Amino acid sequence: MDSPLELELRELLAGITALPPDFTADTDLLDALALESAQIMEFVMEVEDRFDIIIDQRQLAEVRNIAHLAAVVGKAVA
Amino acid sequence: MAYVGATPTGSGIPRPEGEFEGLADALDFAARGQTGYNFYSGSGELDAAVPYAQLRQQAVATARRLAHLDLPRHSRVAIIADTDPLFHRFFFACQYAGLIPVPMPAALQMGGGDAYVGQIQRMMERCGAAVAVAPDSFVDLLQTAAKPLGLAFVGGEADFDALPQATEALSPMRGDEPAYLQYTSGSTRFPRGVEMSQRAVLCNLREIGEVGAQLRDDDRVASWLPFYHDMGLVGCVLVPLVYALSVDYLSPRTFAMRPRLWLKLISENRCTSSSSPPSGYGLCATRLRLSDREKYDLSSWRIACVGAERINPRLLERFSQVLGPAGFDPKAFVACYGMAECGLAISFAPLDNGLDVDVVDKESISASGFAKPAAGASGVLKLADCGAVMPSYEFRICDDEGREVAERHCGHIFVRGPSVMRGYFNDAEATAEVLDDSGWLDTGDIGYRMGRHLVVTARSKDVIIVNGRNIWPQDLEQLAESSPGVRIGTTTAFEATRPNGDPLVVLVVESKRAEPDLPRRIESLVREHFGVTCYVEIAPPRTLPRTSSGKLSRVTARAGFLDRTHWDEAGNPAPMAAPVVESARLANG
Repeated sequence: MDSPLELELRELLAGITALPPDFTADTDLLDALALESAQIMEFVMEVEDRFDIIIDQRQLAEVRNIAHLAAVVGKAVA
Repeated sequence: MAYVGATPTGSGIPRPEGEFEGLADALDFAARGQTGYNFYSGSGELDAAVPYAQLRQQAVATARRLAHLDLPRHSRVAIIADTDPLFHRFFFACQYAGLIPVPMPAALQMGGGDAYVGQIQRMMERCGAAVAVAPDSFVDLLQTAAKPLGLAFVGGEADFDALPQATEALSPMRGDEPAYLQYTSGSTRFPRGVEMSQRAVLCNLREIGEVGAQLRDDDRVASWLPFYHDMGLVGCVLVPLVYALSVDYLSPRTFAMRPRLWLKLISENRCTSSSSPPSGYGLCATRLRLSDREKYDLSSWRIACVGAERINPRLLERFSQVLGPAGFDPKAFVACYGMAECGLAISFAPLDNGLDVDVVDKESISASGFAKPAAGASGVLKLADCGAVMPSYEFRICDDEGREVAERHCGHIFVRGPSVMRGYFNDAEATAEVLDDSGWLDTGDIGYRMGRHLVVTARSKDVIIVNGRNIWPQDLEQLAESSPGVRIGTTTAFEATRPNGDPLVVLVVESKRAEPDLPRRIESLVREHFGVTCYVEIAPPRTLPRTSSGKLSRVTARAGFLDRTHWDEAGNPAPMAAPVVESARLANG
């Protein structure tokens, strides 16, 4: 179901925190994963470096899961 | 070449005779030179260079548009204080137009749009904002927040610039008129708006520049601190203005993601002054790749102020060790103490001296509050000397009954002087809690004096009191962090209340490997050093709550602990699995 971009983001996230077996692109990163701000910073930095993009914090305010983030990244690299 | 495209170092303009009467006068002065503010992007590239001369022109034109709105003098203008030239433009426009600027937070968390809208809405409501402006990326959120409030203008630069300019003469704010409102963070209650007068803030700026930092014309400032905090606004916008120094900015978010860019900026632009809370130096030391440090030359950095929270000397030692080879001189560290209620600074350690640590007897200070100089190397506490209280202040250290205590005895720190705030805006009750009729400000901090030097031991609200002994959470945290497998800045201590009302000292420790005996080891360390039983909980790395500036939040950690903890019949915690991996058992109730 997950797109290649979503899978790549998921892989980056797995390097920062352990993902539960039932993790999907729709899993809420804040509620279900309890990610806190330092981890998010690290994750976003990894994503920015990997795709050579800048994600501004305004865009991030709407992101709650990998699918949302993939949409932001997809737009930036398009 | 240094500072390519940015404003130069050194204004070359002579200091004016006499004092400025308002911040607008200070900008009029700085506008005669070539220096100014420079904004760097998330990848460390120069985004915008704004010389003071250009800023003055923009501010005056903006003030004329604000004047066209025909608002009562001292109406409030909320400015979303992202690290963007828009902030300076509107902050100074308010000075010329006779309106009060109110810097608003610009820290958005992932998925945090709604929470942010609620936060700025409450602030705008509290200060009765008449105008609200934001950089383009924040305009939609600002509009959502401002919708129910009926403001005279809400929007971004493009909409604002469509307003006509008034033609009558501007009358800048001076003397006892307000300068700005600064909302303070760190409180569980709603943040309070510190109202500073022009005279008060200018007094503090002069004292910081002349007595504290002893600024020179060839100084250059680098900063990643947010403009909606006192260190960022007063220390890195207003102090440089009064001395017409150039400033290089990174956003707090850029720093949090890529702390090396701070070092790169200082190195390339030959900055001489840059400040941070201790946690910022810690983040740099932790995150820097050693192979990167050869790229930096930090030998120009002569003033590295450290403030805003109790200083853990080990964090600074670590920073010095890591960056010494890159030319950082530990003598550049200057411990400072202050708060938004005084503009920024209350005390400043001497320059070219590095951190002075007062080593005191742990048993004496926790049992009786007496900071007895330690005789040996064990059973000691290392506390940073925050330097001499600046000359314009009177200060006293008092016990709970308000009686002054002797030197080296811990008590509540009170200050009085010309840079103390006039009060919290529209909040007589909160003002009366901290400011008495004769002008004494209760800082809310605990510390002791050595002559005019201050040692700040804790924020009052953090003190843990067990069996009549005062224990500072920082001490428990530092002790836990001395255990193998526990990193600096990964523990938090606080006092929780058991169901029967008795206190429980809690220490939450982040640890990667859930070593079964780690809680017990820390527990026995604490018992050994402080004679109290504490409850140690191990949490996975990076799960403790941190503020937007990366500081651990004890208040939030305590709330989270109480939330997830179940209590057994004996009144001891019986925590649920997540996020706790392993927990200690209490030896007894």
